[in-house]
Amino acid sequence: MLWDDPVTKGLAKSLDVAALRQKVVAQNIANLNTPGYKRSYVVFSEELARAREKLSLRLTHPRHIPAGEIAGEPQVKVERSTSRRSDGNNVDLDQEMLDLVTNQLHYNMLAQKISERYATWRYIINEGRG
Amino acid sequence: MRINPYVVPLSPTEKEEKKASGPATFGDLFQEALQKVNRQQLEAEEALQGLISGEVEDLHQVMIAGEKARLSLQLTVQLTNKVIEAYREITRMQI
Amino acid sequence: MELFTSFHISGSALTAEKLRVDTVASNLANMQTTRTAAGGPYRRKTVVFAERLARVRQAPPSFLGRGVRVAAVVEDPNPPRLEYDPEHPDADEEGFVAYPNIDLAKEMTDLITASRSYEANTTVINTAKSLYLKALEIGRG
Repeated sequence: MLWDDPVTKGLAKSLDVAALRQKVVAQNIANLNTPGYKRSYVVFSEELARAREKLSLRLTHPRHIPAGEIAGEPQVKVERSTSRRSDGNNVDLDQEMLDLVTNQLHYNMLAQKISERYATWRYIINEGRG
Repeated sequence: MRINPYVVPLSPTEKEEKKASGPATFGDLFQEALQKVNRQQLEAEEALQGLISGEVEDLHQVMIAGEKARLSLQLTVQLTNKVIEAYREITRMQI
Repeated sequence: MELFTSFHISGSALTAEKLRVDTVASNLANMQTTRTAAGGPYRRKTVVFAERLARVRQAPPSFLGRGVRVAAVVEDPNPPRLEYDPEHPDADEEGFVAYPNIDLAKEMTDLITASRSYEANTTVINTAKSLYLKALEIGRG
């Protein structure tokens, strides 16, 4: 169909990623005081690709493995760094709250954009009367 | 809401008119469009069902599926209107 | 219901921290309790948190995090605080009374920890709610 173009699909996919990120951040914040808990985070290949472009990282050796992501699907990874806290928990509340807010704004923007796209299609189909 | 394949049945005379107009029949395209609409309606319904049964993870997926279904339906309705309008134009033509 | 996973996650944290607060309240209320039904002085209680995960039902890789749960409420194994008071009805043969080993400062710290977490998780719930409301607007106007 007309509205199954790459951009619209991209918006829908990004919404999936943002929704997943929300849950992951929620999980981190819920486990703020859990001994030994290690924070999780979401990686999405599209976002990494753009970041990689900026850093101009190149796979110069045949055995270079790109940061292990499945193309087109978001993945949840665990950050197993040591923490400064005695209970082994590495959740940084300030960082999580920041992620929470940025993700919310991102989600809102995506929802807005995709809604506008569908509204435009409606307008076109209904010759300005719908 | 489901649209079965035989929705908007054209009256027998109209159908013959269509078949007579040539190999790349509008009727075929129309049929194809209808099937697409039906599929998207079914998708939207499945998403809604998922919402009700608690399987769907994200609300935005349901909303998007609903939007697609609505657009498909509107497109079909508009196409139908155009077909009928064109038919009327033809019948009004003085030969 | 899967749709409201985010709420379940944050909600579980609110429940857990609430239990922590209840434990602190119990500890503070019993700071001077030298006699319990089990015999001996009141023993300080603490909560042990653990990550809560969904019971895996299907194969597809989905996020399994479901917040936090209280794995146990444990009693402090440290020995009680002894005070010399031979007149006290609960004094032992040597005149010492065993008091609960509860430190006010420590309890206050736990209270602040719980409060900070409670506030943060409430913010997450509000954020999740705004996301859902925004999603409902898709296709409207």
